Amino acid sequence: MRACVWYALVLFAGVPTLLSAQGFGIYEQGTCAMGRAGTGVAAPCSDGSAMFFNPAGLAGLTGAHATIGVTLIDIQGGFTDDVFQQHTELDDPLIGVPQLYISYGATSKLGIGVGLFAPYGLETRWPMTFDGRFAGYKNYLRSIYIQPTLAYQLTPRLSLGGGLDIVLGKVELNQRLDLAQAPVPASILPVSPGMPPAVFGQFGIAPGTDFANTHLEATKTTVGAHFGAIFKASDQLSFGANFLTQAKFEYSGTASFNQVLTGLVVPASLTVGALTIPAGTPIDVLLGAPVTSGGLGLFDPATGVFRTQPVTTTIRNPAQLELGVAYKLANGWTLLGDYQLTWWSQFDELDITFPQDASGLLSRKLFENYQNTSGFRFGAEWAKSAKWTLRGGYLHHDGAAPAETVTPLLPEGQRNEFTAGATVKLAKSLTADLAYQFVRQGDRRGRTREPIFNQVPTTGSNNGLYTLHAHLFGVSLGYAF
Amino acid sequence: MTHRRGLLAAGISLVLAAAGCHEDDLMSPPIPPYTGGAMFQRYVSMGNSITAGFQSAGIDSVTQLQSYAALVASAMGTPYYYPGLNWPGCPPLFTNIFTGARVAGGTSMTCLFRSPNIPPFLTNVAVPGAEVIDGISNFPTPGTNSNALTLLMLGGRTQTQAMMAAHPTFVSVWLGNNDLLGAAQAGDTTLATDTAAFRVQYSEVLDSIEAAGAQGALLIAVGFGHLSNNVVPPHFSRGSTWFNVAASNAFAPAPFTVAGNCASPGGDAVLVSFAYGFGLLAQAQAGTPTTLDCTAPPVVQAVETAFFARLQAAYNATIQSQAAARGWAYTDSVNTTADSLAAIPGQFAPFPNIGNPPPDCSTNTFGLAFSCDGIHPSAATHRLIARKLVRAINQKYGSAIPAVP
Repeated sequence: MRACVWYALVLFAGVPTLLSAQGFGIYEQGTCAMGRAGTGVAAPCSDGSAMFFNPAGLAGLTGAHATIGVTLIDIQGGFTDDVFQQHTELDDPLIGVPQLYISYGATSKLGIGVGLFAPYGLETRWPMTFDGRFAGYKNYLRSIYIQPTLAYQLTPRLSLGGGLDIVLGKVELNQRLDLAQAPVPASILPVSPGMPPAVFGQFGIAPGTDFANTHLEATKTTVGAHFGAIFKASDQLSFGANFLTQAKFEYSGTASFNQVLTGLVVPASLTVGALTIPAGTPIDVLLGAPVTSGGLGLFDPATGVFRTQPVTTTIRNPAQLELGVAYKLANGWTLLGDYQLTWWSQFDELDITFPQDASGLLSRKLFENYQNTSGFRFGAEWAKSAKWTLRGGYLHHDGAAPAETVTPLLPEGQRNEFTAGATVKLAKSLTADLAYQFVRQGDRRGRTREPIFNQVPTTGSNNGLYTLHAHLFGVSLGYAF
Repeated sequence: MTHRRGLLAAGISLVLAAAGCHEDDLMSPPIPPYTGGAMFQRYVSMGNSITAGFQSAGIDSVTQLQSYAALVASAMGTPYYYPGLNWPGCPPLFTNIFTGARVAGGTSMTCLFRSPNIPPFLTNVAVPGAEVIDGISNFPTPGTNSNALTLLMLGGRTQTQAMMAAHPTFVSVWLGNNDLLGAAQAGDTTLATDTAAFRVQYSEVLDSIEAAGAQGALLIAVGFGHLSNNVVPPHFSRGSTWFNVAASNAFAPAPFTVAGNCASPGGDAVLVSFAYGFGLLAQAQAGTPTTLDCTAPPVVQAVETAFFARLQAAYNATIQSQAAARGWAYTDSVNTTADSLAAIPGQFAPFPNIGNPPPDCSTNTFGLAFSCDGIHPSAATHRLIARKLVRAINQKYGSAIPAVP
């Protein structure tokens, strides 16, 4: 039997190693499936998580099931810069990703249910000493999918399923602004045609001089759809397909700014255009004081560039397709293998627009240029007894982010992951699932800053190495009634 | 079967290893490959206008790269980040010191600010006009000499703050020249930094270097030539030289008189700054009769010259003792180099090369060793200085920094 497992692993391991992955995707949407590396498109777990892994899996269920679970993600990682070789640790808390599935076998062929899961999201937190704080030091992207689902067994061999996804999205970005990269207002130093504006760094302000804190927050609800099919070629062999459509969020929210004191003082009188700055002027006063008092009035709540104002952006949760196979062996063993294609190329540019900013200085275009990714998952399950079922698995995927867009927001890369899990029947109607997953991401070169003036990033901006690994713990309770 | 299973396991291991080991690496600047190179991974130079790359009363990106600091960094094989100033400079260099003409028609107020390429940190944190106190404080601290370049180069930070931000492994310090020079130009000894204050301030600068974790430092003696050897920059001319030139009617027909008290032997021991002497001459050439009196300020009297010579020696004794106490390198080689150059014809002009019309800076107005202001060394002299400094470092630390070509 062990030899069979090895053969299966080798069969799948023969594919190219530079496969791909899932950017800010989270595939751990069920503790049972997590234990077998997320496999199950061809044979979903019976805990209702089929609503995420393949809606067709609801067909043929008997009775009602309710499963509630959570995946706890403990991310460990950091960044080491090339020049000083200083290491900064990620400051992420333990992140919980919830799941709730309620399913009901209305007839022997018709299954219905509703699921709540969060297949896309991220949270990255960095300490305020990290140079990447200017790209984002506390970032959230959350998408809660609520999915009413319907599945029907067309024939004893073929089942189809689908659902409508109501997706609640929220995005939050917190970042510092670096005075060295901030443009000098055109009212003081007019911009030459075809040239970028002068920045305060050209007046000596050192890189890494925080002068403002930015908080962007927006919410949006959108809809998507989910389809699946399962074909049972025999009692042992089954195939499955699952497709989750893109969810496009046209976010609209609020941007607020707070001045951060630099403590710097202008050491000598300086004339810049029409403005003469006397020696001894605190730079914080220069930036914040009203224009009528000789300042730049940047934080004036009514007229300042950094006043609270609307902000819009569009983010797409990409579509994903999974194809899978499952084979039941004797003695309670099942082997599973899934292929996952995620259209990350839909996450190409991020336009952050400030409609009320006439200067255009605040609006930003982030070039992400993500690439479509493929993932390979291999799992095995052993129904040891009526009480215990044990699982294990391995998966591999590559990074969606190209080499020039590995940033503090999502220092993502190729990953190898190992999983283990178990189901224990606690009572006649009550089961508990436990799973563990270790994520080992390949060290990845990246950058800490976004290019200024919406320039297209290149790998030349990469200034260090991101490392990341994670421990995931899944726990869920299922109740049949 | 067992053998086949072993092969399969090995194959799987290889595949998984290949998948997991495709990793990127840090791209840290390489450790310089010569003996002791690790000490020079990140070099920072603190100092004055000479260190910053000031020449011909101006500074631009070209002269910044001609600074001895740039040459030493290059020899060390360490990155050199400097606050590059846009052409034509800030201010632009003199093209003719007699007419005040500068590059691109600029003036002493011209400044095109810094290049938009902002380096991650500064290797050269020196600021023109800096005295020792400017290493640790900026305006409005009393006694500081902050100027526009303090802002443009350091952004309101002090030299020590900028140095510490670079996390240096090695630091050179050439501070103190302006503590003496300003007083000499004014002909007023009271304007010089007294030795007690110098000791305290200089020590504070060095404490910050220790706090930054530097593995070593080179402290450079004050001066460009030993005043005790009567070596002074050609910005200063002897009173007797002025008297002799005037006697040859070189200034005629301007109503310019050089008083008899400038004649030898008394005039041999007094120093007339270019700014003062040629300021009087320019007034005369404009029609206002003027007289150079070698007994009146700002002409530096013999007793004042002796004072400055003693002060230079006292400063340098302080620096040397600080270096010894901290186990750092100290060098007086810049002064001995200047002493040697002064003895070579053509290197130090005893009096500016003048003519009618006045020659431009391409004629080496103050001699080959100097740029066109008579105070700041020429590019060629910077190279000599860099060679001496590298030798001093290697001698103290047993390193093998390649010689400056």
